[in-house]
Amino acid sequence: MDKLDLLVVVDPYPSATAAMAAMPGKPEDLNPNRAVYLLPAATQFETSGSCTASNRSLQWREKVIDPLWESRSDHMIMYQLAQKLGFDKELCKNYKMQKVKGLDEPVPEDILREINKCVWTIGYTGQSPERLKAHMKNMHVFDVKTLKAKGGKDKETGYDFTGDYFGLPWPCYGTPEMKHPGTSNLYDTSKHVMDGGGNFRANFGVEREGKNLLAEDGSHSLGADITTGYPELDHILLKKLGWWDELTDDEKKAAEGKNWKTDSSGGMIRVFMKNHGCHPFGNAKARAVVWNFPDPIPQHREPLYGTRPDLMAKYPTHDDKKAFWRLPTLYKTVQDKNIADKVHEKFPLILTSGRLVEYEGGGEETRSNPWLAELQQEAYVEIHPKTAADRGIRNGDRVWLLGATGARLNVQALVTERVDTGTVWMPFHFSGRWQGADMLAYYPKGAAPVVRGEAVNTATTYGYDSVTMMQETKTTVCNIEKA
Amino acid sequence: MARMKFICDAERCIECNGCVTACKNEHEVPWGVNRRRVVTLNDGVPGEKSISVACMHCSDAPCMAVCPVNCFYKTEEGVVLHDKDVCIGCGYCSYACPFGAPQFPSQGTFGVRGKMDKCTFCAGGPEENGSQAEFDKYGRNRLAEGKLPACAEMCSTKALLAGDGDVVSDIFRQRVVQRGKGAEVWGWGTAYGSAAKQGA
Amino acid sequence: MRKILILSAVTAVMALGACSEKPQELVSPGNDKPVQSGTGVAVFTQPGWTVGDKASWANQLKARANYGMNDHQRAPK
Repeated sequence: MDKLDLLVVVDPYPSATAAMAAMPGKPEDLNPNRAVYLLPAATQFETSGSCTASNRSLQWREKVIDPLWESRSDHMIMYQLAQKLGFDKELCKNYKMQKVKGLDEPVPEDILREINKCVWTIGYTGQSPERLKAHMKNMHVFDVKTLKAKGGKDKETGYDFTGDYFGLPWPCYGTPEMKHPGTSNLYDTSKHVMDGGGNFRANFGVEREGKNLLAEDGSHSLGADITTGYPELDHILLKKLGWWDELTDDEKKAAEGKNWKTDSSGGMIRVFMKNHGCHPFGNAKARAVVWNFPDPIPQHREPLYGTRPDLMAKYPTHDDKKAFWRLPTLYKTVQDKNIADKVHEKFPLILTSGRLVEYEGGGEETRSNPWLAELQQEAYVEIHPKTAADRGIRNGDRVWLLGATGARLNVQALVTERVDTGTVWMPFHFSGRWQGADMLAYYPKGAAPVVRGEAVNTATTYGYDSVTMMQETKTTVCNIEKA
Repeated sequence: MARMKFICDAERCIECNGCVTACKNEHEVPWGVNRRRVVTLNDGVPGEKSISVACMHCSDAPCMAVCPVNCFYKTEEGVVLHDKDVCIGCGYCSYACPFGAPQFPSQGTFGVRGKMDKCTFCAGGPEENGSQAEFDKYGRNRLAEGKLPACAEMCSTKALLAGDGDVVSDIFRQRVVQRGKGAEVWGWGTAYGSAAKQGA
Repeated sequence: MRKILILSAVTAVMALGACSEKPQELVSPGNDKPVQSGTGVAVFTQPGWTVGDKASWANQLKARANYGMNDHQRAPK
């Protein structure tokens, strides 16, 4: 971090990143031209906007208070950065501005409307701010088990909720006027597409190696006019089916030469779904063999850092990739080196990490909350009684966790049978202590979290998923010794 | 109107500490004072059980019986409250309470142990209902607002129930009748419908 | 002899009197108003009951308990 030219932290809390940037390292590493900026961002209560949950439904959050002190909302920060770089007019050309504490801020409703206008593929188009706000004001009309509204009208706008699923879970296809109810369960052929039903998408071509990839006769969503497989919707398909003239003149102008993903009127989607009950992304077979992945069917491959070189020989990892998302990414080289260096002898325990109830994510926000901090005051490592006994460690002792990265973490030991003899577990929510030392002095005054602890990712090692490039934080090796 | 009571359903308590956090937040309870806490037995072992414990607002309260300065009183709803202005911080109520409800702040007028603090069933104290003075000393008075204790209202699994004893035991009885006991409480049939209704 | 008997009997009764349950009704602060008199802060008060009316307060709490804590009432069987 000392070598960087520029570091910008945008967060309601300064975070361990800011503290680490302030913490002095080796003097020869420090870049004299380094600039570090901490921009206080507003929390979700200081601005309004839509919020998507992991069940795919959206909610509209209302602003509760104006941003405190000097904090600004994320979209205001982006707008002001664009202004400094000179392209704010292009970035915000579809947004009206509102004044927040005297400064211009893009209106959050307009930002959602811009998304509604173009994200056709995953169905982020039907959830207009108006529909979402009506849902939020009338939660009582939605059934508690199915989340579907059987009826009801919003008092202020007269919006009719009938058929809507709460939060209009994406994909919610078409324009808001088309009033798609959202999709509660994906690919559900027992429902009509205008009731949230669907079939499997035709994303992988029409045929492969002589086999038909589209759905067979009789496999379709409820009430679909086409009762067999069909490819993705485009203007050619619509014309062939003879449904082109169901478009209005304006829609025809926008849809000519386009497919359902590039038709800015949403007319093709409207005709296909509402008039004929068919799904715009096509009707194809689901596939169990993913031919474009490195492993078409999941194979077991030992991790780069493991405690079983014999299994690494039997289930080796992937070959190195010269350019993976434009970066050279190593697999086999690292694993082979670890076998050669006998890493498993120096670090005979598998280290994995996981969640605690009291904290969330990196823990900056939740460890700053006094009520939650009181419930989990120490970073700790779970060790099996045998592993602990072998090292003379008792429950509550302080221990050094030695990572294969060279890191040394000073944490408390929790001796339990929750982990087996070869594994240890650490929560990943902690930060603010570095190799045994408290970083309190390096946080901006008064802005340190209540509870600080060692960050487990100081000890996690190199490794990336072969498709998504997700980092390997769930398995590595370590050793533990009494402090 | 029956007495106000808590019931914590040990089958449903998942040790999320939502009740603890709700109470802390609602009354801005200082560090070290635990009006409500979750007790877990057999932690990490199959058969683990948790239960949320705070003042039980006993009908025959031992704290009230032993207090040397008689700072305790009971409201018409059966809520056991006390007057911090009279309390001398002797800690005798803490000895007497079988649930460990009386808490003592780490710093206070008496140095090592300050005035006793405990769960008020969100009914405040002798100060004017809803006043700042009441909030500073005892926390929020939710009963006077027509609400129920924050811990029970916040419980994520509806394990912790609070309210009129008749109402609460009715809810609990309905739940037990519906779900059975022992092995029948958990399982596929309970989550997705009884075995008789299970199709595929 | 009788005097001692009567004296000891009276003493015993008086001593045993301490064993009976002391009444634990509203004792010290007579100034703590009952919760049904409300807080006077309208914005935080739950609508649906009349301030001062015990029965309406009890009904409001009963409805609230069933709405918030009784999932069997709201979910279809």
